[in-house]
Amino acid sequence: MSDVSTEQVRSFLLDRFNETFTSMGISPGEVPDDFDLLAEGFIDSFGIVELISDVEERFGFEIDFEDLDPEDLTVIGPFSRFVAEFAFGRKR
Amino acid sequence: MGIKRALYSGFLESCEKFPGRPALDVENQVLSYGELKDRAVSLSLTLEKNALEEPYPLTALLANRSVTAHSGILAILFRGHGYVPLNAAFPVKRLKWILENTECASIIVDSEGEKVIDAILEGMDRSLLLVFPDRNDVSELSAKWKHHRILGARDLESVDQWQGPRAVEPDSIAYILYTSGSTGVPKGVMVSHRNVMALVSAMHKTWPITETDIIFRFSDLSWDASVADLFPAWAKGSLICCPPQKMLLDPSKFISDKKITFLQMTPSHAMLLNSMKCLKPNTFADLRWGILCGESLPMDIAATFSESAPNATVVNGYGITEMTVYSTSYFWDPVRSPGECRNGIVPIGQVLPGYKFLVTDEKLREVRKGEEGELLLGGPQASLGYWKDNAKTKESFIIPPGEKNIFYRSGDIVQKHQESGNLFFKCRKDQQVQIFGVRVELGEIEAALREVTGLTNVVALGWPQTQTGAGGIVAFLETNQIDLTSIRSRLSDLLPRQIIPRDIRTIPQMPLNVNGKIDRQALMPILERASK
Repeated sequence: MSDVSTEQVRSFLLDRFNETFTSMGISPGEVPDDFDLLAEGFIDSFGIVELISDVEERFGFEIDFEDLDPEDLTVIGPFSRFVAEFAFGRKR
Repeated sequence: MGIKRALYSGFLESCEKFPGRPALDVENQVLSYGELKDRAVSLSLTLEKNALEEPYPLTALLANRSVTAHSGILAILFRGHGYVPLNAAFPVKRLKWILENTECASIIVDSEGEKVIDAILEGMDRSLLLVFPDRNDVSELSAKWKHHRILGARDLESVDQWQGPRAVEPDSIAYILYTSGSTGVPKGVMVSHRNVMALVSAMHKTWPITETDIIFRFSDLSWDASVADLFPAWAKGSLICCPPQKMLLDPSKFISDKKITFLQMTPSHAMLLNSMKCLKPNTFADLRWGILCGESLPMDIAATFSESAPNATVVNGYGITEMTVYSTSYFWDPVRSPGECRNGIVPIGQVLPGYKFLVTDEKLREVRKGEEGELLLGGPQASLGYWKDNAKTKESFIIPPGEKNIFYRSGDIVQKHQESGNLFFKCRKDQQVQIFGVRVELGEIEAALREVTGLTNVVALGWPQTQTGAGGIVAFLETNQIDLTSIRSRLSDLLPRQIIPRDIRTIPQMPLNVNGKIDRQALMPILERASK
């Protein structure tokens, strides 16, 4: 398995929600680390299931979110860091 | 001496029996039965002493996951009123509408509710009593809203003067909950003390708990599953643990840390936990009862949940707000149950004690054994009907031919298995879908879409279709051009977030069926193709 960087996960998320960001007049480069996809109405509860499935498919491994703070699950920065760290831990 | 038993009686008996036992764990504080009672009594006396003219014995509760929310429910019941929960996460327009519809003149507000109170009061001409038990200084609010009577923590009455709760008749309203209405107007379901006491009794018989149980309060107060968290527990002296909103997405750590023994959760939420890998074997070792409720239960989720809670009995709980939370239950057995499931879906099982049911055709005649038909439910949990809507009440609460008692037309098509006697949920007979356990009338979303777009031909569909119901809503608008951002923003003023369409599509012309009506099913292949 290759390394997954925080930036790669973040880019994947920004790309996935590109249309919604654009419709809100937000440029992907300006999306802050603490942008909460759930609170901002980008995804609903089922959207989280879909998002996890897409991320797992994109990076090619299953992710155990048990150790991620529930508050951070839908926040772009912490989510991206967690996935990258999980991949790193898994590789080791 | 003594008054007729009412919904508060079970709680008060627990206060006598276990004054020092913990009753509520919320906002990082634990209140004993005695302490919770004192808070409720003080609040109740404050409401009674200061209330303005109240057309009906109803008090609104703009509170959810706080001490104030729980003491507020009890306070309202103690004063002989029914409670009307207002969910601060709902659109302000809807909350204002509920306040006007119920004509509540007293509101209890917690710190979360405070965030939306200004918006609610804007344009409210009639005078209200507002009590803010979480706020010491209310001078700013009082100065701003001069024609309302506003009280804070310092104004709360002392408990010494309390003479006991007000007597109520068994058919008095205990709460009014608003559910989705097909015409776009929410329906207020009136549930009586008798109804909830029957539910408590049925739950105690079916899923017995004791004073050592620890209950997880998953549902918001605006959803009736919360009723099944609170009253059966308080009547037994159990502890209710209420997590903060932000913890709800993944409550697995909270459930383990608090040693929860009883929880209700939607299958969709269990699926969400599973997708996060938080439903591992033995995750919930302390759990004794795991009630999966609110929508169809897929077999694999029941099995996974059962493995995560090896010491628990996992139950498929089926019910409807109009029949006071729960109507049937099915106990999952890892060995026997897979053979009793159909198309991967767990049966909804048998009716609760005291219940009557019929499976009927369109003329309300019982179908032949084993045939599909609409489920009609009767018994002491049959609610009082719809607030200020006699026509709708008469339409839904009927006396079937050959019967003497009232039955509720559930609109759910079911089938009874002849040998096991288990009921199976098949589908709806109308345009209702279930999203994360909430029954939603597609007509309500279509009415909102018409209002914000001015278009006539609009369709809302439950999509993607999942084993539990629908993941969300997708809307089709017959037009060429739309301003999506504006539509979304205006929809959020009308609809709770969970049912705002996740995708809004345009279509030059709606497909029509042979009768010239919009062919909703013909829109499905468009979505299917897009998802491939």
